Amino acid sequence: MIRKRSLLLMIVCVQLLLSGCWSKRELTDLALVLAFGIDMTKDGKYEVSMQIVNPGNVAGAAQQGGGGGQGLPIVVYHQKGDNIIEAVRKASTMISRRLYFSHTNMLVIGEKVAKKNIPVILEAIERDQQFRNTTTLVVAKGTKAQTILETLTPIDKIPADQIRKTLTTSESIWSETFPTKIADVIQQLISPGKQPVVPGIELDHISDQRGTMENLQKTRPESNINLSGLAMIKDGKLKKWVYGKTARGVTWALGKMRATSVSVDWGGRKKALSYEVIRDKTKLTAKVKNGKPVGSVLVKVEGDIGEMLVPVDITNLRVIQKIERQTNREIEREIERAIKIAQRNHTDIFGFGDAIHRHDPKFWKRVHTKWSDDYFPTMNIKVEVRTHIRRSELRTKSFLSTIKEEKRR
Amino acid sequence: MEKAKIDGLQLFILIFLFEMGSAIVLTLGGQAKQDAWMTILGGLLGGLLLFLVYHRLYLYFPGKTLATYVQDLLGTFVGKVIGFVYVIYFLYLAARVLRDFGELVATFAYPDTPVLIINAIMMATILYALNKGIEVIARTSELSFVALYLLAVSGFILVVISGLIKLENLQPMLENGIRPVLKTIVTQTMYVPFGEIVVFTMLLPYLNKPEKGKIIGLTAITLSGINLTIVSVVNVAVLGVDGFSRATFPLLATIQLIEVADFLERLDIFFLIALVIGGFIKVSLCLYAASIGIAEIFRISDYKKLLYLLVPILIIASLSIADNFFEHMKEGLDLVPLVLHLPLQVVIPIFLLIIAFFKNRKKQKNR
Repeated sequence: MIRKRSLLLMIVCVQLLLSGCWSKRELTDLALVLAFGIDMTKDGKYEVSMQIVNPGNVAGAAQQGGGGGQGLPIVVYHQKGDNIIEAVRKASTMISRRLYFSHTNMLVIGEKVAKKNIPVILEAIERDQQFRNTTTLVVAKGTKAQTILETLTPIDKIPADQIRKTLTTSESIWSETFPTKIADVIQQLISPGKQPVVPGIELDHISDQRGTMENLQKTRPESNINLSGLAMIKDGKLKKWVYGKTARGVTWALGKMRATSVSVDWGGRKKALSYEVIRDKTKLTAKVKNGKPVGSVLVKVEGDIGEMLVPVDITNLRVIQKIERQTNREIEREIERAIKIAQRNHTDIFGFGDAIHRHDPKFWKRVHTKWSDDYFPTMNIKVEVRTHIRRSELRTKSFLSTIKEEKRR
Repeated sequence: MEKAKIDGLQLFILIFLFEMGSAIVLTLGGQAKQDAWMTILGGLLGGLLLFLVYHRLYLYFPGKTLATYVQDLLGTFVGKVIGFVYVIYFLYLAARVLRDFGELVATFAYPDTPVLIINAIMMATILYALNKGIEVIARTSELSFVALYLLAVSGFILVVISGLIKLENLQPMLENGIRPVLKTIVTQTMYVPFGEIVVFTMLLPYLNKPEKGKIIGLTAITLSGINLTIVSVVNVAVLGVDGFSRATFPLLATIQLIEVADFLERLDIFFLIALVIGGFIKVSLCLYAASIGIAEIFRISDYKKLLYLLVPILIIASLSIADNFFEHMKEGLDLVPLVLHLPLQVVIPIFLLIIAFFKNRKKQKNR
């Protein structure tokens, strides 16, 4: 009898444990925030914008073969607050579901905030238990973060995905910009010997239709989200934008280069050859010589010849060597320009300071407070690139050469 | 003491998991910055020496636990007092580890659940296991060991594949000289986790082949020390010095950064499993040591009855030892090592060993 009773008691007790989790949240009670934007209002308050997925519409669109569902795939909410946590919590007054940040993969900072104070924004995000430190950080160039987040995108239905994919795809093909994780940016914000760089995104045209279906019903969207350069950040503030070849110079020097094409002058014609980079390796070092810091950047590149606008006899080894030398020069120039701009802006984005710190801790201790203003700008930095041309895709000599020879005959 | 035997492998795994226990999830040697791993290696050396002391004592009194032979050495009354101090110490260790566990789980997995509930559920499991005796704990640990190692190895591989390791974060080595490293060793890493092996003075008598105790202990401590060193190196290399010392749980921060092939990410569960296994084994062993200690001091035949008293005490103690997480960590890293660990792990055992040495010599002379 006692056995039976105790068994019964146990069964009752187990029921208590089996009832489920303490703070369970059903999927239908969650609002998945995919991208999070932070702006500042004129009176110094934070304004957060949250791009929330509209699950019914995304799934519906997929079933119709991507033909655009009834509603919009996302909805964007804004709220102001004295700090970020307050603004987010206050946003519950306008959203029926609980905001859920574990799937946020994009953090957009408005340019104005970026110019004021980046670290303060990241504090709450690093601390928060839902937010991921692998989230990609971008700066909205020339506009507010919310303007970007409101924009609908054509190919990937969810704009946050579109931006993230554009970043990673462009990195692996063109490498002018690269995605940055919050964790890495924070690490660099702390270190006086290496300042962060963050990619920028912008709208090519800020149209009122950007948040409506009309934006998608054109072969050429009114507003399209583009990548645009890299933001150099000094002491937690946006200092300078770099674009194009200079941005690529930054990528080279940081060793973030994945693949790109370098145009090389040949035979009197500007940018006549296209050199496609397959892989590369960057070695950045710095040491102290006669009480002065000196740095060096050594880049080793492997690649193919991808195009020629003038006939070049690439079966000739001497010609190949000459092209390699030209390419070296071309890449060196890009890197040197990037370094010069960084030095002029007193922003050591390359980590020469960290390299000095590793190499000569005592010297570093003496100079680290004045590093970016007194030492880095005047530092002598040697750039050396060693290019190797490995192949030339499916043809050796170009048919342009044959045409030329035929004419001569 | 209960009538039970554990074999060599089981003792090895128990020591290993005990050492890894909560140490793997907390910031060890944070004061030494990028040289944290050196402090762990240094602490390991200290731990090995301490284990030799405990083992020597065990050889003088084979088959007896600390709580018993301290009475042989110092007389019944003084011996019982010292033995009781040790019992309280083991209980305190158990409460600390339980608090670590509760805080961790509450911080990152169940923010809305009171720590009391989390701790109580953990203790219910431990109560059940301890009721079955040390052999069951030993067998459980064998299973856990495999699970933990699989996780550790796959986690390590994933961190490497993710390209997160930046070894330059470990440089410059010994930036501020060797002094901070040595200071951290003698004030911290030597005691936590390595010196905590003093709990095994209560467990060594269960080994079925006593002659192998020394080699098993030394290898298990070494292996756990090397593992902790690797974890520390990886944490600093991934998070950077500052990130490492600021993170509440560096290992969690490291694991959260893993991203492989767009789908192997958010592997926080790796951390949680390591935490549950480590916490379970460590709390169990401390509580077990305390309960058989009390049973021996007060001549109670069955230690299991004591568990029903000790478990509620432990749950309350785990909550009341500190007001908040910061106080808990501050006590654990700055205060407890000098006030509790140093005398109880180092001074008293060495003192006991000296007495045992002379008493033994006298005995041999008389013969």
